[in-house]
Amino acid sequence: MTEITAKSIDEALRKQLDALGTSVESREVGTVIQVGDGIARVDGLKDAMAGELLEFTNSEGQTVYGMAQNLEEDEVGAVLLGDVTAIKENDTVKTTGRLVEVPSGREMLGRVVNPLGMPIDGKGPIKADGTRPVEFKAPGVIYRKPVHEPMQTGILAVDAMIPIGRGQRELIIGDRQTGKTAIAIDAIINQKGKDMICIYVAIGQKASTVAGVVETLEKYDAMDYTIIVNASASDSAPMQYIAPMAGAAIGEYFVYNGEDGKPAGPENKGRAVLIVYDDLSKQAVAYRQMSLTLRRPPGREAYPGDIFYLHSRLLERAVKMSDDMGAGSMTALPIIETQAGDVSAYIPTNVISITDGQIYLQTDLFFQGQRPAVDVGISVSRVGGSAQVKAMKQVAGTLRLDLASYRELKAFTQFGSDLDKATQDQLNRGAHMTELLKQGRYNPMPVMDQAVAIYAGGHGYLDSIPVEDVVRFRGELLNYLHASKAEIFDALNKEQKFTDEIETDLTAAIEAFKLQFAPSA
Amino acid sequence: MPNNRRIQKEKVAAYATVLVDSAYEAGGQDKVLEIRDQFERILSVVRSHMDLSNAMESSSYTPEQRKTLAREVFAQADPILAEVLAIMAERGDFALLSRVWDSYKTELERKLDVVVVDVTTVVELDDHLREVIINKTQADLGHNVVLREHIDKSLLGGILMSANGRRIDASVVSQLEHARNVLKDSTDGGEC
Amino acid sequence: MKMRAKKASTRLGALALAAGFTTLAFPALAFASEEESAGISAILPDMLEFIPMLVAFIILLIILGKFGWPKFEGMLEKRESTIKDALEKSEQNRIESERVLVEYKRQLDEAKDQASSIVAEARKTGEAVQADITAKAQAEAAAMIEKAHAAIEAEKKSALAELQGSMADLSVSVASKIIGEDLSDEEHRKIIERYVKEAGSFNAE
Repeated sequence: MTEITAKSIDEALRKQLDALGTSVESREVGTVIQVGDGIARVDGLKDAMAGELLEFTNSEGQTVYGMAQNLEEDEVGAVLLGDVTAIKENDTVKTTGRLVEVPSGREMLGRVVNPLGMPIDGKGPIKADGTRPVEFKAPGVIYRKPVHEPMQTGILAVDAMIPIGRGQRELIIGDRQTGKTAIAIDAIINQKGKDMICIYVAIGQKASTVAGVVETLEKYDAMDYTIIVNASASDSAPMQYIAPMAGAAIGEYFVYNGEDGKPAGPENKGRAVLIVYDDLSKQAVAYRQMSLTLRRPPGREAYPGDIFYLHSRLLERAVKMSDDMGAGSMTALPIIETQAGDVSAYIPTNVISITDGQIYLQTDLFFQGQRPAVDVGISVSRVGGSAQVKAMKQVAGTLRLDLASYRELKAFTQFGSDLDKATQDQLNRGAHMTELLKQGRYNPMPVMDQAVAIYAGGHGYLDSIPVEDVVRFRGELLNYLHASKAEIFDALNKEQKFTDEIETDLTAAIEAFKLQFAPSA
Repeated sequence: MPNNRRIQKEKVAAYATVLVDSAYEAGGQDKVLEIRDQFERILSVVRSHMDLSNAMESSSYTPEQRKTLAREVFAQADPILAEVLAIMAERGDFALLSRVWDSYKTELERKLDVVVVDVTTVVELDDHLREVIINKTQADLGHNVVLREHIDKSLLGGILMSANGRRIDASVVSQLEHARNVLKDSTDGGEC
Repeated sequence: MKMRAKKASTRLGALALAAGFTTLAFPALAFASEEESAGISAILPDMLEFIPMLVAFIILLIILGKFGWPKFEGMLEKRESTIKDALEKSEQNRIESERVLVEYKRQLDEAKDQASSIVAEARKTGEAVQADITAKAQAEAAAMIEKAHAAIEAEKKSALAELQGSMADLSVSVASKIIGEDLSDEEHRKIIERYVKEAGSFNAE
């Protein structure tokens, strides 16, 4: 730490001045013909590239950046990133020869940035290791490897029934106020100590909501490994449009570079990244606005024709790299908000078909107190099964069966009253298992805890406990086991599965605990 | 509609050729360049006045009305230019103005082998400087060069040259701006 | 016991016999006192009365011996067995209660053991939890300090950057003033010439 002295500043300035070049290259310049709605039509710029970064300079010398979008015969349609009102007709536009890119690097961890990578958290400038293009072609087949490692969210219902693997794209879909963001935030909090880098891209949200997220993550020490990219509701549509891509670009830096910042390879492992796009429906709306003002033809629901490609190329950037490429991974959790549970709208169907599975959240469940309100019946994970730890796989099978038969019976027995013993037992088991899946916010469970809890439920140890005590029982049981039977977890972590020996010990421990457990009523 | 596009292109070329040819007949290269300067000014005026261009393109006026309007607005311009603009307005082709302008510059280059280089400086150029600049730009562009000199004190020093939509900004003000950005955006603020 | 009972029954039979003889022997005595006739006749039974009474007595004895005696003995035997059963039962109860007592004692001991083990376990759990909480609190405190340091550092950095920025602004504006005012036309032209020579080509990509 140095003191802030005039001398140090002077030195810094001198150092910078020395680096200053004097050579001047010719640049292509154009003129703004028309500007409005965050869109500028520019005359000239015959050599502009699609997606190129343009530099607008107004009469007062203020610079605003833009992105070339429509390349037409005699003009270029560009979107303005930043202060839209500063640019007027007849202002000059320069090409930069670069595609739109964002700074990226290890110093961004723990920071809140805008989609251009500029810090917006007042913690001073970020010294980036480099820049990465916002639009980046996803790696091809030979650079990839099937998803095989688990990405634990710490949420019982998700990790047991809808397992997510590193490099997977798992959609979180549901109406407003069903806890979509909560699942993503819990997943981020659960990555603590798992050598995972998290990126939370907030698109079109209230700044206060984002501030709340930052505060939560700070409270649970999750900011140390998290980057937040924020294009809030007040940012222009183009900013909201590039935000997910910018987040992906920032994340790709970690996938393609090792811990030391050098390119990843067989010796230098790439990092694991988790990126949350919250939410892509707002990005689609922003892109629709942008496209309509650029006068591109509207399609279904007035979205432009390439909205599917927009989302598919974004989500295709989620990857599990092969060992030769450093074995880094980027797991994507896109979020889509539906209107009144309508998943057959344009954007939801698109994104459902792109992703490797989805987590459905239901309003009814949420208000019945089943939180997280995951509808395990229709939620699926298409690749996660191969990425589940063995212990979980052993217990999750029975859980799935129990819940499936419970749902079936429940619907069926709503009419009748006289039930035979077997049916009643099944209903009872189902009710307990459903209760077991309830979990508070910011309360992620380690995967072995989850496995043990489901084990206890699946083997009927919960059946005799009142339903309302199940969650308390689960918590106290795990506390008890951690405090006095820690060797069970050691063995589980070592073996990664339930062996006969562990099962014997565990059964004994659960029975012992059940003796001292006091039901509340 | 490719046909439509070709027609448009030909229209633009026709307007530009007529403009260049008639100007050349009326007063040789000087006239052509004079019209070029006027055209440039008109273009910038039209671009910054949406009402004007809207009125010129509007179909709610009759062609005659648009023609008279154009004649009156561009009365001070060279009669050749004013007449061409009036015809464009009459035929509802006023929206092609910037394309005609591009085409005009290409015609100029092709027919007269002349490129106009706009040079902006703080002080007036002397003959030696002119020679230096013309030599350099001719070597770069491969055409004869005609300089259009402008004085702008806000440059502070140095020179700003532009031709064919490209610009060399060697002004002191932009260099200082660049220096300021480098100084400001640098994150190497000492060793902390 | 059976022997004793038999003995008792024989004794009872002898007693009844003796009573019979006494009655046979002294009927006269009873009459004598009635008639106030003194002498030996007073104690000798009147033969007239004595013989029928003896016959009646013998008949009674035979009848009783024939019919009453077995019944009587059956009753006694029954009674004897009930007493025996009761005794046996009480003996069993005693043994059972002794066993139960032992059992209870054992259970009590076990319960005591269990209680103490639960307490021990609870203590162990408590200690573990306490250690955990302490460790957590310490880690938290350390993290907070770390965070505060980081915040101070960030603050310092941003202050430095801001200062640097304003310094840059200031120096650039001073430089512009100086260049704008202090350069002569000739100097300007020299700069222009240098820049034109240094500048890149129009055709450069």
